[in-house]
Amino acid sequence: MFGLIGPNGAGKTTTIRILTGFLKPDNGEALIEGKKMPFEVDFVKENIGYIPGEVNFYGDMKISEFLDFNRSFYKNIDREYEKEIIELLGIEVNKKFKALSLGNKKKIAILQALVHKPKYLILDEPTNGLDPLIQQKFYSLIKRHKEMGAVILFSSHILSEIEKLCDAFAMIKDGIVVKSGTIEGLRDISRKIISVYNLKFIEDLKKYKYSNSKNNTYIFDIKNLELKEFLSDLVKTEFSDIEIKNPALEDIFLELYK
Amino acid sequence: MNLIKKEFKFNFKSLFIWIIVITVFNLMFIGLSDLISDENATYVSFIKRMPKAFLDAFNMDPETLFRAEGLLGTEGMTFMFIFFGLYASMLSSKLFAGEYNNKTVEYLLIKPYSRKKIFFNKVYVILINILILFLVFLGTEFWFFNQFVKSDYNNNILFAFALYLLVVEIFFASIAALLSILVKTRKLTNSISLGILFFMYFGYTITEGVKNTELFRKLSIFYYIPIKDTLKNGNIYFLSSIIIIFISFILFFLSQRIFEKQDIMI
Repeated sequence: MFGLIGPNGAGKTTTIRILTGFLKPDNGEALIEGKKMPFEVDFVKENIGYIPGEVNFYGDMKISEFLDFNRSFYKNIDREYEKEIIELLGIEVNKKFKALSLGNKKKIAILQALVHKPKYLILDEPTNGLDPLIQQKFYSLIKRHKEMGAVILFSSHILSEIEKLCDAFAMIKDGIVVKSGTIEGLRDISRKIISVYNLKFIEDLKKYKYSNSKNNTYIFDIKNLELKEFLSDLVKTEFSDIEIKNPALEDIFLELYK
Repeated sequence: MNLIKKEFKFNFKSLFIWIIVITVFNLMFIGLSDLISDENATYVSFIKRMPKAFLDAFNMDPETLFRAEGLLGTEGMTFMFIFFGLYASMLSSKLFAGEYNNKTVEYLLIKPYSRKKIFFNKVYVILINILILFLVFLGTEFWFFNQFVKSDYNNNILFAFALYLLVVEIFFASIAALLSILVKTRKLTNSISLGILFFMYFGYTITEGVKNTELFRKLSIFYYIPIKDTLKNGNIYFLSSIIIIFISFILFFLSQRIFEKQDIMI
């Protein structure tokens, strides 16, 4: 599973649109199974599952009709598997698409992308709009497809999501790969912003990067790799509360450019 | 439910409404034909007082109006040409531009159908819908004439009316398909194709008999299927009809080529 990460406007969706056959590249080439995209996309469409960033299906169609329509494009749809995804994600098949919330629309997008068990999964910010519970269910589905042998391209602007799921990654900005490699490489640069309130500062915490604001509130910038060690140092002293945040992707990019 | 069935299902309501409109208009014009013919003298004196440009614009010709096919051929066909052109344009723009408008084009293009297959499946649906409306017109026209018109009428002329409507439908469906692929919005496609329809129809009728407008009139497809001439002399413009249909298919193929090569950005 390959993670494509970058801030909004970095070129993730454009890359995906070239791979899905919607756009011609200005230069260079994109290949799937040795077929040039978008010119030979028809040879591999059967094996592609795609979750678009913005979900749009036929508003007047009932979900049951839509599933019937979606089935017509593929030779053999495993109806049992379709039923399993419907139950897992809690999809209501009797509603019209236009009556669904964003999260429920996203569930339909997931279903239509996975139901034919594609060899290649292209996911453009697939968890946008999903509640945390459904996100976990989605991750389990994706992991299952990975085990089935699917090659997955996962685009996201959430670093932790890529870190959790992917084996390798590429970071892009303005259409250019800034950093790429295995997911361990990503862990080197990924970090947490930890605010500790009413902290009784001790010597052991001095080795970490921090800033001190009012009322003994300290903000630490901790690399994921040193997180465990930091927490064990922190519990040696007293504090009233702790808040852990993922830094904005733009901040990580700024660091990379330094 | 495959793409063809889906398009038929979701466009049936509109086809049904147009079938009712066409049937009601046919009934109205054909039902009144004999009555108008019987009251000939009163109408002739009334119509002769109207300005020629007005009569031309609304296809009124005192010579032919009072024949059995006259009322439908002059007044009725003005509405029918507009209705059929409107229906074909709107159907075509809904099927093509609608995919861009609703942003469903991405969903459709990622599925294992080639762009060519998607395009021609939609053209197939358009042509079948158009053909159904044509057959409804033809069927109700002959049936109502048989039921309500006691005076003599010419079956060939009645067939010509239906043929010309089919030509107009196919032509405007192809224009709207091309516009849909180029401008990608339903509103704009509908506006431009309706503009072309009104420009061609009223441009042709209003300038009839006006000097130095021949070249302008030749831009209209209605110049090549002159309904007045068919009514007066019984000429059916088969060759012109076939050529216009042929041009329409060229426009469909051109649209398909553009659709196949274009970048999809929504």
